[in-house]
Amino acid sequence: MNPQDMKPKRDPWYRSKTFKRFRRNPLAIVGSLLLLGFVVVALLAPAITAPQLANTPSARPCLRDLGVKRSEAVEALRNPLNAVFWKAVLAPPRSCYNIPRASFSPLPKPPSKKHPMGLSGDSYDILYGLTWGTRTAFYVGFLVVGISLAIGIVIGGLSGFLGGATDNLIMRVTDVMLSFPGLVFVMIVSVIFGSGLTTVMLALALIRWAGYARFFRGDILRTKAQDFVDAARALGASPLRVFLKHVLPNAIGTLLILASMDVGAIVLTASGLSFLGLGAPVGYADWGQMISFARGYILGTAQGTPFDFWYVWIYPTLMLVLFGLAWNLLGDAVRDALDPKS
Amino acid sequence: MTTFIVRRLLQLPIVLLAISLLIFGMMQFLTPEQRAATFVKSEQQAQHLDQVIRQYNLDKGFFVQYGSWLKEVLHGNLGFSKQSHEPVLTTIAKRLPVSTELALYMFFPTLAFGIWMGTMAAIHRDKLIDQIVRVFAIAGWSLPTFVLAIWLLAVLYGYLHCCGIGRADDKYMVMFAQGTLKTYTGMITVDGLLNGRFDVFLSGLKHLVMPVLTYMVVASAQIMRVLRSSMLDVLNSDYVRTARAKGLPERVVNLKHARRNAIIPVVTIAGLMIAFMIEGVFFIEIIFNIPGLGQWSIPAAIQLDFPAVIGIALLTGVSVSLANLAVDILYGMIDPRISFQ
Amino acid sequence: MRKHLLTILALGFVGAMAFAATGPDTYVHMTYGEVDSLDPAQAYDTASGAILENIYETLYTYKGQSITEYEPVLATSYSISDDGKTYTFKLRHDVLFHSGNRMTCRDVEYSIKRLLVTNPGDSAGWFYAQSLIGYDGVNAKDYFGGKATQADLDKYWNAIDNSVKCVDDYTVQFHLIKKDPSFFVKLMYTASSVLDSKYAIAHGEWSGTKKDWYDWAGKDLREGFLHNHDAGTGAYKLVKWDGKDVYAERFIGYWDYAHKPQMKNIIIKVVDEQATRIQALKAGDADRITVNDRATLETQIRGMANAKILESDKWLGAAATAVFFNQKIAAKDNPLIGSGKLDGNGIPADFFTDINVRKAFAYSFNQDDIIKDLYMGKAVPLTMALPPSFLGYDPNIPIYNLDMDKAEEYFKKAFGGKLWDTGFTMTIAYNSGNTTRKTVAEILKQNIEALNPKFKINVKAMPWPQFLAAYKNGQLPALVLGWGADYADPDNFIYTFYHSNGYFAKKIGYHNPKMDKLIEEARSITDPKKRAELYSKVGYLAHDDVPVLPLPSPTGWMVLAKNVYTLHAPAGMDVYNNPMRSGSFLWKDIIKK
Repeated sequence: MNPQDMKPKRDPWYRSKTFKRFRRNPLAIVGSLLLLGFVVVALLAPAITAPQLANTPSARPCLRDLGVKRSEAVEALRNPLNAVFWKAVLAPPRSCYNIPRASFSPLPKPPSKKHPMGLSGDSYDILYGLTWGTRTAFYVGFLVVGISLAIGIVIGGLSGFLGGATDNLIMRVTDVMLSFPGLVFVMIVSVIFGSGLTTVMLALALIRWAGYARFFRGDILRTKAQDFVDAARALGASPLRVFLKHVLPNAIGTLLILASMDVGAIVLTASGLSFLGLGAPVGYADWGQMISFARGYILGTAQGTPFDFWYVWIYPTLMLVLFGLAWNLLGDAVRDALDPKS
Repeated sequence: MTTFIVRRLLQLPIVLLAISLLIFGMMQFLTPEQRAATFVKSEQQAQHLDQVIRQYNLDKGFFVQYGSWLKEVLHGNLGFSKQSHEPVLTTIAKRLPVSTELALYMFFPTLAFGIWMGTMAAIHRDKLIDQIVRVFAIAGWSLPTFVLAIWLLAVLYGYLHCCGIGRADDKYMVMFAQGTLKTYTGMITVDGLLNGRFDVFLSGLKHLVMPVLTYMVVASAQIMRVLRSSMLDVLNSDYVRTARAKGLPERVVNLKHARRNAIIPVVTIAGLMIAFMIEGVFFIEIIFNIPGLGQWSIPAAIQLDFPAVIGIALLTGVSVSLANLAVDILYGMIDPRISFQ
Repeated sequence: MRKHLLTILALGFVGAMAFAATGPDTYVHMTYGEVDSLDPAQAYDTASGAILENIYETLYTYKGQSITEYEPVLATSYSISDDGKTYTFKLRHDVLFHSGNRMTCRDVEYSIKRLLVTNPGDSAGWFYAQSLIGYDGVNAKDYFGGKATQADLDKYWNAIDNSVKCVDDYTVQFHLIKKDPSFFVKLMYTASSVLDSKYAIAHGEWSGTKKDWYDWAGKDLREGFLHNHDAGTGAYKLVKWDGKDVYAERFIGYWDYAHKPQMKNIIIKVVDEQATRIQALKAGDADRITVNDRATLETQIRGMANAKILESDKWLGAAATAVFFNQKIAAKDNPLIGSGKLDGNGIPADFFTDINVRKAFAYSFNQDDIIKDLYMGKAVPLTMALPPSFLGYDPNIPIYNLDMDKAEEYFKKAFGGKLWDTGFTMTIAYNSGNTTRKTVAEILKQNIEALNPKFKINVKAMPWPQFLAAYKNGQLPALVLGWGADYADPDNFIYTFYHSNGYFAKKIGYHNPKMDKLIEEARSITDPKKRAELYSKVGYLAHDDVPVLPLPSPTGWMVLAKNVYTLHAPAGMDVYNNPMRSGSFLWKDIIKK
């Protein structure tokens, strides 16, 4: 008998009970819609901010690297038939991630036609920082999860597959990593290798793999004990084949879902670090920076009201909260849906 | 059980050594000039940078530095922190009680708040209360700590004058500095009581309100989520169904049967929270000006004060390892099914 | 749980019944940046200076807010020999140290010798050593690099030993190696404070004799006894400093007992988060707070009910900042200069030796932008790298300001016209967190890139350690550097910025024999009028040569609680502000109304 036959049969995903449960959960819908919104904003960032790119002198390097004239920028960046549009959406030059400064004045300016969300401290354009910052958020979230997941799967897989002394040693190493406060680790790494987005991401990935490795190892051990694996082994499949063909695909699913839900948490951590001054250099489009520009103006003015500069902190805060909310609602919903007991 | 504890304890020094080697190794990626930056703060002071490098043996090899450092550590000397201008151990001894006091006051309200929210959400699953609690908790969690803290600061301190920054009112701090009030433990509230001064105790509490509130909003979401899902598991279990079938009132079932069992994962979370709290304390100490470990070690890390960084890593390593140990033991006490093999 | 929370809140409100305010005899200053050391021979930063100037005293000091008038403190009178090389001070009788010991000439001798013996690399000892013993201002251990013969060491020690002599118990004499018009004001810096020698020696500091002097050479005094103990004569004595906040109290045995200070307790609190300091001022917990920038001052402080902002156009800091054009960029492994060649993808190491490039850069910089935006109009442009309040500053020298036509003209002339055709790429780095440096780099980038599409300037943030290393190795092509006055003499700036052997000029390879001659001449005479003329000439020459481009100097401000004043305040002002004092005014002059 083919061991695959012992696995439960599945409906197509859209007809499965799991998906139905997911679909009926209002919070899940809210979460999905929010996330969709963020994806759209991230993708269309160049089109959304085209007027700012065209009208702010300090955005010139971005236009130059895109190879488009100022007078034609808005038209080109908003027209999907134009090659520049796709270049800006798919592979924008690095200079486009620098938030344009309207002037060198330290004071925020309220929303205007030219700057629809206003200017933050040091005259950075808020709309620009937030839309391009969405790209940074996804980039950081996915990359950190990707790297740490890859390391976690390899190491956790080795541990679960080989067992014995190797398993023991690897688990002790994860002990060391897990007993390390993440913040301190990130600080040390970024101070040594120079503070930057890459180093922060690297540090986050290097500290997070241990959790995945542990989880994956446990999952493998559980899967290994299941009947269809025993059957495959009894049929004389080599241990490696059994592992790759049967154990791995079964264990990896849960882990992927779990890890993808960490994206929100990583983005929050990264923005906190960016606020502390660890991470992207000042002026790079990133939500943490937007909070940090707002730093001195959150409480308005002493003569006026505490809400004189509301726009400097409400918009970035909203972005962070909604992003965290989206991933969490989605995560809870997926977990609830997958839970057969409910 | 005893062997298990002993075995776990024996692992501790190995973990610590690994941590120290890891950090000390990473520090060596820096050039001597970069490490000398600890000592000078402006180009004006950097006139004789070569002198500074020689003075602190920053140009010696890795094993020379690590060897001499390790030897000192084994003699109980963690080195000299340039950030605090004194031996690392002295600084830790001085600041640890401050952070511990803060952490203790932060820990229990946050845990309780999280448990309360988790219970509410689970009992009223998928009803409005559940949705509200969850959205509130997650929103609090993703709120930038600084924005929240600054508003608390403005309203409670700047406007209502009802709480304070730092550790206690200045008049008491002066008395502690002069020795009129004796320092026993380094924790203001405890020392206040030991001095027989209830007003000092109250002043200490007053200065803890904002940090605790901030942390509660930011951190209780994690606990809420874990408790909610584990409580749901338990509410669906045969055990609770039986209790319900017996006709026990819903309240009794929820609180007595379900919550007690759902609390097990919370013990895990509480253990993890200790590691989380180290980060939380760091942030909060900076904003509310509390002279604890975070306020010293963050600038120390940025200033490349590596004796300090290694010291703090060792300390946190010990604390988290010990906390994990305590959690494991607690497990055994709450849930006798767990065996220690 | 809710109950618990309410209890905490309720307790808080009970405590809040009384409006928090500092007491009538307590002064609380909240500032940022930690005190580095309270050993006068080690400290070389303003945070430490602000404490030291109150718990220690020097022989003479600045009078009120003046930097050109002086008054005796621990001395009563002084005289200078005709050759300008011997300074004799008569000391005050009946001065008590905080330990109760009586001050004599031995203490002065010990203090200055200790400064010369120890002279750690990151201290201010160098400028005393330059006047009194030479040796490039470096301590013995580093001067000889550990390869000294006994004879060398003996010679070095004798130089120290001969530099300060006690004529009798209350007369001290300094012997300079050559004439130095700034020596007298050097003695007003906190490093030359008079220490209680008996107390210091009894607690394990240097013995004051030849026996162990070499052990103390170049030593980090932060590990010594005086680092956190006070051996001074000041009106205040240190109660406690454990690395952060400083507590001090009025000294009962102060020699000037006729003028008892009003403040009994002084607390200097380190509160690094600016928003927290502002809330503390609002809540009445602070009498003075340090506010970093003009924008915060205008938005968060102006209009606050119980605070006042004091400012004046005349309050210019005793500091000068300038853009430096590095004429000898380290070319090896230097990513900041790209290809290292004149091919459009980099700049050659001698890029800035062409005066046309320097002038083109100078004309590309918008001084008005900096003044208007960064300082919100409250700054004055500098004609030369010298604070305007200093002797010899000439306000009539023209300044460089944005002129795109001239910038283009000079860029076209540079490198025989080649530069304009090939273009260039360079990186201006700044240390992360330094707004001024960042803004300067961005202004240059914006204006120069607009001139020619082939000109590319990248702006890069570096953490302080990397920045300092790149700076030390001479890798930064163009950079912003600032110098704060050590003592109130123009030589402190002019020599540093413009003399080929000066600290900054040497670093960037600026060398002009004509300039050196002018500066050396001004160093050898004492007549202020003649010196001022020479420094004016230096300023004009520097304008023609543009080794550096001076940046505008912001006017100062102070944020105090409404009821805080000082004695000796000039008419119409609540307090005096002496730019040479790290804390602007002395604690003993504070009064609360």
